[in-house]
Amino acid sequence: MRADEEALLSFDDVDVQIGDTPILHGITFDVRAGCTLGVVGESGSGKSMTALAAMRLLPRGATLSGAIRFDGRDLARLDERALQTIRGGDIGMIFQEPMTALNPLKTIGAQVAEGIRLHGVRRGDAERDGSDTDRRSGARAVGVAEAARLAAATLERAGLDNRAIPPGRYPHELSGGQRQRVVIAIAIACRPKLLIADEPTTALDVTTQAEILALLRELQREEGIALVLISHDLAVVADMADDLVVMKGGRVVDAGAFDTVFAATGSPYTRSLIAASNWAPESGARRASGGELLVVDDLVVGYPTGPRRLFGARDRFRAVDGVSFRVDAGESVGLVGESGCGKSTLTRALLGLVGVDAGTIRFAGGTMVEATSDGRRTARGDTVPRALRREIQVVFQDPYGSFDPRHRVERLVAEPLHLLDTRPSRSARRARVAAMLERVGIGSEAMRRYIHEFSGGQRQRIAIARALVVEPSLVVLDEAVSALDVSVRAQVLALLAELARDEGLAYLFISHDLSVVRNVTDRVLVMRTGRIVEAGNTARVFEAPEHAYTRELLAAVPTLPTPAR
Amino acid sequence: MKLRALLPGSTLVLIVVLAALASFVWTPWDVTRLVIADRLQGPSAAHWFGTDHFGRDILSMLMVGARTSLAVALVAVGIGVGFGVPLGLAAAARRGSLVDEAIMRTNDLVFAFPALLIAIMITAVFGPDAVNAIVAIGIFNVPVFARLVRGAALSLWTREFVLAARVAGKGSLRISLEHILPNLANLLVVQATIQFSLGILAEAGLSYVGLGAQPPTPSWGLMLADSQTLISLAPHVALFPGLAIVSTVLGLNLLGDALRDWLDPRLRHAR
Repeated sequence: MRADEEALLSFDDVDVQIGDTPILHGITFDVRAGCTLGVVGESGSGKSMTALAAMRLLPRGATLSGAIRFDGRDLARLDERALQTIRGGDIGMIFQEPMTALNPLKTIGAQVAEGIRLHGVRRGDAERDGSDTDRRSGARAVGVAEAARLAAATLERAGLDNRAIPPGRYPHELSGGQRQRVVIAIAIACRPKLLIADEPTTALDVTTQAEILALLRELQREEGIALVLISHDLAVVADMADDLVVMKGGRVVDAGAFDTVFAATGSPYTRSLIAASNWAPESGARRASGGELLVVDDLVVGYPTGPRRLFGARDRFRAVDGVSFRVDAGESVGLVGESGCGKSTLTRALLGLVGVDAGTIRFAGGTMVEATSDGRRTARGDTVPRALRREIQVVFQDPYGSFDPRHRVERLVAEPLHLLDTRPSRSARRARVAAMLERVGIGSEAMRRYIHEFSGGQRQRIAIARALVVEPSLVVLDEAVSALDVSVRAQVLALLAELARDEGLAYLFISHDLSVVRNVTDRVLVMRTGRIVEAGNTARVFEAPEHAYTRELLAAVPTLPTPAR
Repeated sequence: MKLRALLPGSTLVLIVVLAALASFVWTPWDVTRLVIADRLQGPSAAHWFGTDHFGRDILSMLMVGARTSLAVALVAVGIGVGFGVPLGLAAAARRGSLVDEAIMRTNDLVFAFPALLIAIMITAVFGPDAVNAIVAIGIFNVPVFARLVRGAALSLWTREFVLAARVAGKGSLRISLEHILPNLANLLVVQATIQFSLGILAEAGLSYVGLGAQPPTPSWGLMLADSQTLISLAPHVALFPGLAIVSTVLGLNLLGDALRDWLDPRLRHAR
């Protein structure tokens, strides 16, 4: 940090503990005025807790020691009343989940105006108006009409055109990206000096993420707002940050100018984080394809939408609209697309969980799913032949939600064994589950435990064990690594690559994360609004995309600079 | 962890259950013995809880009355759970279908009638009797459980672990029994304790208006009903049946809380 620049926010040896459990240890770093500080770390590293400490919004029972200096005051010593003028006034905060950060019962304009009414207008604006200011807080109270006017202007500033999206709209009428713009508008409404963004784009699609990051960058530059950008994704931070803090286990392991930390001077942990972010299997791990395994032909899957009618069918929305592709034995195929493109519906159709409107899904020569002749959708997919069902298994995204919390791991992993024609005996089943757990690196002693006793990465390994226990030939990986930290993700991907090599498994790798798909697939399909817009060899698609949408998608992906040796 | 509630909860419930069981073989006094000379006595060494306006021993009546109250509430909750839970599970498993509509609209129909009126109707047709009270209260527990189960099951059906079970080729019956029902257990336990408490109160209410247990069979509700004109003269006649109801309901709620935590492996293993 250069000496001529004053720190706007500085943490000085901050410790936080909840009860007797220490959460943060000696956190020390500076945020320079008008600059961006990236805070990177894996889950549980304490990065969100650091953000909450800066706002003094720590959970009940937490104690804080050390000094948090902001603009000449020590936030750690201020009383609640003084803090309230700072929160939302001098410091704005942007949360990860735009769905829950907004009140569903209030219009977006009202939610932005609320902060303005609460904190008033900053001195700078008030002087411009030539009106009285409250000497204590340096802000002037604002009337309802003026607040509404300012709110509209702020929404416009956050990229929501007042004509296209009037302030009278409600949150549910907006897309995820638009909601995040509202959250940003709330945060900047009172012209804060500092903006804390905690994983602001994690819940968003890549193209939306690129737009939101561009907006934050623009605000930071034009309004001179200092930005603390917290993310698990090094690449997101790399595009934005002037300075970087790397956290692990409640400690700062690296802090300084981004380039310095990112280059050779970083600690071993930081270097391992960078390596994990770029993980790719050893070349040669992929095998030549065998015969065709899964053939999807002109598949249409829709669901009813609009009001129910007394007579006649309801309108149908075609979530999957004429999709054809195939996966060969032992091949790894990626399917990428943004939310709402139909990839989840396609996955469910492939697994026989929803009926199809038209087209067929054939598997290893047999017909797995087809539209019934009378045009009605097949009921609940319970029509998939048993023998074929065991050939195609799935690993879901959510390592927390995809297991019944009331069953022990043994029973969870054994569940698909139900599909075998001859049900194995109790001891055979146990042996099989134990072997499978060993295979995925969990250890058979896990069988007696419940799922909540495992970490996210361990749970995904157990999910893989559950998928493989019936020896399928195709595994659908539905965002299977998206919820994992980079280092854990690299380990799980390595396991998947190893299993593919040893067992001759084929994968259908569904993901919104292009970098993951790029590293582990042979071919890739790009999906948009229910159709596949581009398909081809992964290297070819990434290097020379043909479709405009693929190019847009690739351009939006934040990239990690190659670290200097 | 709420297992702390287990001890007071189970103690209270145990006392009531033991008192009810003991009354089959022994009570301090005979509850059918009327000694007008001893009427409305306060608590004493001979009569711990005093006597009522016929000179009957209140403690003995409470013990015998516990049989009626517990039996009514238990069977009424049993009817509610026994019919309501399968109906709710079926409606959720076939959500949006005719089966679902038929089940839920029938529930609405039952809900639409005031419970007390139906109970009065049933007893008017079949005569006032504790058994009829049980049936009447039980019928009104059915939609309570059916609705609760359907709502909670619907959200469980969208969870990924249920999808995983479907990918594992399990049908809706097996999924309902193996995954949905165990995950509803905590809700059911809590609701069952609430309905149990309401059942005791409902029996008290029906007996109060003379449609529940018939004299000389003692019941807590009947005792309260009899005491109302005497409340200023001998408050203990109302106090002890009231206390019995309150402590049973309290004990059941505490027990329900503890049971709910114990049923959840995540909470059971937490220290």
